Amino acid sequence: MILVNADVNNYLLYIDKITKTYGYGLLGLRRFKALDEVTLALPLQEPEILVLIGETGSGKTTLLKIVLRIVTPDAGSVYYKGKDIFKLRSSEVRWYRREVQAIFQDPYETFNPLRTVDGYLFDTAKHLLGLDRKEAEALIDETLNFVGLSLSRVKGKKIKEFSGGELQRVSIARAILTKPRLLLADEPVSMLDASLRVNILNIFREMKKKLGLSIIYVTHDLATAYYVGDEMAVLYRGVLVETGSAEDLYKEPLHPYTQLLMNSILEPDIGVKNRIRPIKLSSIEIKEFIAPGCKFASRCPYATPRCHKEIPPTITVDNRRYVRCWLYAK
Amino acid sequence: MAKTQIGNEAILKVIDLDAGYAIKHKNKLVKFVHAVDNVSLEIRPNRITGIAGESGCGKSTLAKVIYGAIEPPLEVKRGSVLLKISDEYKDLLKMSRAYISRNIWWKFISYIPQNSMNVLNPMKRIKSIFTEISKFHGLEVDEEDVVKYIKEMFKAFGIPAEAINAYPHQLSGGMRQRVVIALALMFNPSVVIADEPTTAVDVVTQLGILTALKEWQKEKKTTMIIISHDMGVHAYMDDDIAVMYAGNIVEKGSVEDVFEEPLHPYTKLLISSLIRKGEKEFKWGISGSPPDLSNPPPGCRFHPRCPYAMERCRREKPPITTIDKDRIVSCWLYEKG
Amino acid sequence: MSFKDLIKDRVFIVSLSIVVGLALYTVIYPAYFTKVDPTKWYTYPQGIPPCPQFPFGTTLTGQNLADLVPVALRNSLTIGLTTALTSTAIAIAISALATLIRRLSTAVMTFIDVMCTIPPLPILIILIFTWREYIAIPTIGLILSITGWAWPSRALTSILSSLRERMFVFTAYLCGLPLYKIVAKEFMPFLMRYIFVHFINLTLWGIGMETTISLFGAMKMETPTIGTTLYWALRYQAFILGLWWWYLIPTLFLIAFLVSLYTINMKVDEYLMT
Repeated sequence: MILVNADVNNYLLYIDKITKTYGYGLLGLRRFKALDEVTLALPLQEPEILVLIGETGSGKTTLLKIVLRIVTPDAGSVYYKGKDIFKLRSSEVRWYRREVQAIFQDPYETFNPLRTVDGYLFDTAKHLLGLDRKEAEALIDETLNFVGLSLSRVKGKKIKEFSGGELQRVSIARAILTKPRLLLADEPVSMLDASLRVNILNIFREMKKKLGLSIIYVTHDLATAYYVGDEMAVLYRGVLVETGSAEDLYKEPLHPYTQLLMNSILEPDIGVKNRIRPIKLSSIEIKEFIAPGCKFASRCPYATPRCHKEIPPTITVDNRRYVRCWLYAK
Repeated sequence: MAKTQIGNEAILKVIDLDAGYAIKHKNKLVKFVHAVDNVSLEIRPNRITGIAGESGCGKSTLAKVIYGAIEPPLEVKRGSVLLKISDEYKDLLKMSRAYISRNIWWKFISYIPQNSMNVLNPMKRIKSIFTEISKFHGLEVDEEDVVKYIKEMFKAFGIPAEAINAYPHQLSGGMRQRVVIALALMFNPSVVIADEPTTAVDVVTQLGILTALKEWQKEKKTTMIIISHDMGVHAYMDDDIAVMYAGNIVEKGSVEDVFEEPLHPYTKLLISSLIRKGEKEFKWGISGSPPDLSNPPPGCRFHPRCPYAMERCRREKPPITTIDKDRIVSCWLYEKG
Repeated sequence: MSFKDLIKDRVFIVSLSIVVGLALYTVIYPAYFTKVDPTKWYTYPQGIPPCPQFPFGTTLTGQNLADLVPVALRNSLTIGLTTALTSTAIAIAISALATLIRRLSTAVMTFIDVMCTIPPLPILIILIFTWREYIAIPTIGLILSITGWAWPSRALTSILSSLRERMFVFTAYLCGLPLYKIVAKEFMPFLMRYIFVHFINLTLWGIGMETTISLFGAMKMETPTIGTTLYWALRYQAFILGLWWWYLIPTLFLIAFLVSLYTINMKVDEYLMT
């Protein structure tokens, strides 16, 4: 994730200083930044799974919507394979839809309860790939096989006839039908049972290996993040506070917020049982968004007066390792 | 409001409980979802007992029956729920709803639901919700006392003082959950049942809430029952744990025993399928899915997915084997003869 | 409740038969059995109670009720149906405008709310009274639609607004479906139930409005509708003079139709809900 003066053509996806502001309060006149100059990039040559870690209110959903072209940013651009996605010609839009797909958190909300689930698969085959019925059936069956299902199992059924795990797999199949290069996954396993999560995550690893698919996996569950992730980026209240490889962030989290997250993981392991960990809980959120200075300062155990007044710049610690915290400023 | 429990005898006993949901169409029974199948459980006082299991295993139903929130289509077919009140065991299932809601709820047993909006009236400010509940339970409290109590609780749980005058929708989900917990603990009940208390909140808030609950338990010696599908929560909170699968309790014991040496094949598979911090090697999940509880498989309900299934497992339901004091498992592998 | 259950339900079958039966009656009877124009006054002896020759009796205006009732009922039904058709069409169009085009959203919704608060009766009475010389019966339905679309539109708008935010709409978008297909495939199944219910409600409302306006004397009074028939019955003191057949028989036909239609509405709603 290179930040300055990089050639956008070298990257699969280059999110360049994206800012999104929303209004709040009476008449929506007061403003806060849901995303503040967020920059991220995915390499072009090798497929990579980037984990975007953020809790509710971090802006992760807004970022996904921007990459999917549903929301327009107020500043900054997003480049896919060198092209500005908000300046695509209408013929290119369809291409982009094929290249970049998404799956969502709640498998039961992903599909219309009144429609059959395979309807979506056929729609994709028809509208994005232009296949006729026979070709579509073959491709759909093959794709469903990849995720452990089949067309005969799925045909004519509505969502209530599937379990959460199965439905999420159909959702994945729908997304990879067009053989995209980039998949955006918004908390894809948080609504599934713990024992089923690893099945879906294994599919992700397969997709990267066998289909060369890059994935932006958004979650606040750090354990699963490490299991699938190559690179990680931590988002706090619209600001990208730390990036690096999964190894780096686990072994040596730099930003106090990342440290807090790592400490908050509850392991299914009784070794840490009796330690009661002290913690400072956050107050009502908007105050944090509009605070001058570092957004995390009000909860940070290391906060200095400077942290409350000035927003820390992005500090390069190493190759592809960045942190936004005054602690690391020279 | 008895709260000091002397002795180790169980404070709550569930005996041979059978309950489920009767789905009817035009007064004819279409199917019965057998969510709680012959469950017996003893909850020791001054300890945190966890009920673990995945979605559809019946743990929420069990919690509702223990609490007494039994409304159609939920039906209790047989069994008893004994609560120790002033050294005597009383069967909660035999009490009338009116009696329970006035005398048992909030005072002896409190319930923290998964969804905070089920408890908080969106039309009322937080302060009046607290005051109302006090009045309903026949405690003539001074509004000042209530406010003082609320302020103390809010401080313990990290809720900002301004929330006292707020409406529920003005608070974030995590904040509301904490308010609901503060409400549940208001009369210092002997037993607190928390049904997935932190499923809807973020990781950091989760740690905060659970820590606050743990500290409360230590100080007030409350008996807690934590229902959750998250084994991480159980590892952090529980003293004892009971694992449920498809309506049965398949294993129970101290949390050290169950995590370090799981006996039941389901527990083993479950624990090994959980992704731990810092793990990257390939892991297996459990294949198949939980059975349809309106038409469960014969014999042991886990046998279709069990790697150790024997002929006997397919035919007969395994009995409950007592391995040790307070250590039980329900599996043919452990039954001699 | 499945479709088979619906078809076998006795109440539904009876209601449907009544509605269809009455509809056919209003069409077939005047075509084959009426020899003289029933709308002309003083064609028959006045005020005769029901008897073999005049099964429904005659009115003081010299009209044969047996010939008059089917025509009256038909006209009332026509007004009801045209109201329903036009109002539903307008409601759908305006709701679509309010929800699909975000910039117009607040403006259109305010407009809908304003139209909801305007009391329809006085306006309709004035409009119909002013134009009654120039318009035909179906057009009355169009005029009623001017106020009839507002409440259904409000309901449709709120449903569409919440539907628009749902995830599966987004999925359809990611499948490459164009907007009109998203509306057809994702929204319509939800809306069908409401549109059907609103349609029947509007029919009932249209007939009710027509009756009310007629009783005020603002309708085309020489055209027989149930409302106008009742008006004349009142004018000619039918209650006091004891000519019960003049007001009771048309009313009974109307009630039979309305209750059956309403029952169909409830039953189909029950079916669509599951």
